[in-house]
Amino acid sequence: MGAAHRPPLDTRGKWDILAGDLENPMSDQKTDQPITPDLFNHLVELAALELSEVEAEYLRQELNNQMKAIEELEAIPLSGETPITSHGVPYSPQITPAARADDWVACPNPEEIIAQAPETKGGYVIVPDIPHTELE
Amino acid sequence: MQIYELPADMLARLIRTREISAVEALESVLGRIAEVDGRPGSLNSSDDDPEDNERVHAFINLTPDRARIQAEEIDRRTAAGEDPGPLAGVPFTVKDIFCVKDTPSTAGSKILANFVAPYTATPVSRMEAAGGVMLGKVNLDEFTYGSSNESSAFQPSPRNPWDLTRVPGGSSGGSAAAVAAGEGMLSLGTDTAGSIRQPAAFCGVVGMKPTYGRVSRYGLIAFGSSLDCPGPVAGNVTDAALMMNTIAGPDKRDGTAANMPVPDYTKDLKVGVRGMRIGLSSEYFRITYFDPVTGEFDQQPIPEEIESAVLSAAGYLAQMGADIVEDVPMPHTKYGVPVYFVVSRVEAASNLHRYDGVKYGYRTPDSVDYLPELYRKSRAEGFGVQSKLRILMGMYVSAAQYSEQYYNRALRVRTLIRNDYEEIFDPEGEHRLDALLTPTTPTTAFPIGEVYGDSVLMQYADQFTVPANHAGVPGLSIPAGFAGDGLPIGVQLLGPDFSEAKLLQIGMAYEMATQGEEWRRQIPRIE
Repeated sequence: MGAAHRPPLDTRGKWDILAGDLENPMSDQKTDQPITPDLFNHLVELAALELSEVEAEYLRQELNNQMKAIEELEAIPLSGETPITSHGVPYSPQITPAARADDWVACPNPEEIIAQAPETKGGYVIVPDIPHTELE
Repeated sequence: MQIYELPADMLARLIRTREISAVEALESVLGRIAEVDGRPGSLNSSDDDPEDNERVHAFINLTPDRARIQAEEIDRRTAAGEDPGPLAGVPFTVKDIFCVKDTPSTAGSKILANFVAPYTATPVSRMEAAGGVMLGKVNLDEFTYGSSNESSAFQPSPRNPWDLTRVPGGSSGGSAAAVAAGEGMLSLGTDTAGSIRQPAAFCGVVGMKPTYGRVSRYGLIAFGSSLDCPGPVAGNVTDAALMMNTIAGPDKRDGTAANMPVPDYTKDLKVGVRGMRIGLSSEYFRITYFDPVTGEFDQQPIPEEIESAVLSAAGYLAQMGADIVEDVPMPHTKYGVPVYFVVSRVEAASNLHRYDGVKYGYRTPDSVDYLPELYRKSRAEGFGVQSKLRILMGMYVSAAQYSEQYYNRALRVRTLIRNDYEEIFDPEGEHRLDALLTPTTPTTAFPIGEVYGDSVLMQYADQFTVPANHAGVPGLSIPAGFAGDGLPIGVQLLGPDFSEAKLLQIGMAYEMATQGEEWRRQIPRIE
């Protein structure tokens, strides 16, 4: 492989470095990282995930690396009139499909759809208890 | 020449005139797969088999019995004097991100490993209706999240047929590797940031990302719903055009499928490029990347041999009468990746919330007492690390307190990226381009294991392809020779909305002009 194909960023021993970080808890105390361990744990909870310690630290580090690139967007001058683009191609009336009629159509194979669920009984999907929670 | 080496266009003609049977064609391709593909990707593949390093591993799920039924039906129809369609008997593969009824549709993820699709995606059903014979599902990055195929839960992941120690690119890596290795003439891929064009470039085949909305997304397992584009991976430009004829068009099941008639992309393919204005931009001759040490964008030129391939292509097009317009400004190209880090993650996180261990797919085998615990365990065990990364980033940048700073800002910068294209393609503007000619990728295929794990660096593999996804415009990657390391180089043509026919014409002109060159005769040696 020639130098032409070298990646522009040094990635040597990424996983080794992470393992090293975990051995030194003080290395977590990086104040310049927007996604702190506490914030990260909150995101993990919102995302309905559970992570091992090694996985969590790798992911947090990668998020913070990506955030550095994302923060470059803040330096771009934007006039107050710059609109958002939610998808690239503008949908003119000519190319926008007409909305379908809002007709009720029975699913032809509901039993096949239900059968995909990991646990079912009598046409119902079975889940563990749903805990009662008070809305704040 | 073996049947499996024939282009789709030629094979379909031979089958329609009954010079070759569809079953013969299928058996030829199945024989090739048996010869070169090795074991398919699977969830439990921890045993390292040295033979794995000598095979392509494009497939997750080969369905030969289903394919034989289709091929026999094609032969029955031709024998009865019927026309089975423009893809009559052409074996093709499908990236395993499309649903195909009654077959496993995994998205390369453990969380969907046991999912059997209850319906078929529109682009697949259109190819089958046109006479195509579906061979099975090919591998990809998990949920298409990657540029190398290494993130698939189904290992071994595909190799690059030109050098089995290299990645095929991604996320449609199985598609590009299959076409390059003679394992089906066509493959249906998807492109969210370059996922058709980048692997096509890495594997020396043709790949087209159509205009957003040109091809229906019905039945596509969603990643970035404002960016995803199904499209063709093929051995040459004619075959890509043939496939576009089949898959493009309105679809009552997809409200974003543009309500526009489909031209015959094969009709004027050889019209030539005389009078066309084709641009070159310096923004595509250097890679701009974010240096986390300095906190600044840094730049380095692309490898000389890739630049030379683009300039050589420009030279050919100029000789055939195109006007080459230099120094075309594309000032927001460098923001394509940072914008993508935000927009695609928000859309990915939203799309991945549906996987919960309740309705379908993977459920943790552990006994759990409460539903939230079931969600957490099922998702933790079912998703791979790249999916988790995208979910977490999407949650963060779209959170109420950050969305103005990150998500809305990224969508506004996306407007600036779109404006770059609108200005250069404006028929009344300064540049009035028919197309922009660029490298497809900043490097040739990288070694397996070299980049995987660094999510920032991996994303920059898409620097020259992702802006077109933000803007929605079409792009075509075509082979343009080989680098000194023996790996293919791809060049890319980008055009205004719905200009696929013109991009294919330019690609065809270049393909015809270089037909006599020595590099055109090279084929991958898989031994």
